[in-house]
Amino acid sequence: MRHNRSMPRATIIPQLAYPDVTAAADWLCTTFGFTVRLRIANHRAQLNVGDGAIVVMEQRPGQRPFAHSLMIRVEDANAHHARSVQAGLRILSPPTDYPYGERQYTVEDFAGHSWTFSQSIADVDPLDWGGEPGEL
Amino acid sequence: MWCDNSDVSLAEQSTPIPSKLTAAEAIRSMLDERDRLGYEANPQQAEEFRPWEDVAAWPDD
Repeated sequence: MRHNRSMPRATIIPQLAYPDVTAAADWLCTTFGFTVRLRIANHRAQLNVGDGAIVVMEQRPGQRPFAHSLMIRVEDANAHHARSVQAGLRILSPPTDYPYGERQYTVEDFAGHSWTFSQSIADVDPLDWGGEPGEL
Repeated sequence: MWCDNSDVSLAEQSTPIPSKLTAAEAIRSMLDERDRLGYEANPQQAEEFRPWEDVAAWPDD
C-alpha cells in the first residue's frame, strides 16, 4: 500500500467523535498513553496507539452520543466503491480526492455502521495542507 | 532604507497569504460537507438513542 505521511500506516483506523477534540486528545494521551500523530486545527487529531492509530473528530450536532465510524485503508477506492454499489449498499459520500493525499468514500453497512474506505493517492506532507505534525 | 515603499513591498503587503489555519479550515469545510450530506441521506432516528438512555439512566433510590 502506498505510504502517505498525512495518513496513519494502520489498515484499520477507528474514528471517535468528541465535543472538544483538543481536550479529548489531551485526555486520551494523558490517561491512556497515546501520542499525537497529527492535529488538524481544532477539529481532528490523529493519535498513535501502539502500531495502530485512531482519529479523534469533532462531534456534529445531530450525531448520536459517542458517534463512531471506521476508516479502512484500501488499494483501490473505486473498485471497492463499485463492489459496495453492486451489493446495493447506501453510499453516504462518493469517492472523492482530498488535499491530504487520500481518495475516500463512505458507505453504510447493513446494520447502519458507517465505514470510510481510503486509498492513498499521494505522499503529502501534512504541512502542505495545514496539518500540525506530532510524532509521525 | 528600512522604510521602503517600493512596488514590490506594496504588492507583498496586499497579497493575502494562506495560513496553516486557513488550509486546515478548508479541510474542515470539505469534510463537514461530506458528513452533512451523509447525515442528510441517513438521518439519526430517535429510537437509536433509546438503548443509550436506558444504560445511562440512574437507578432509582
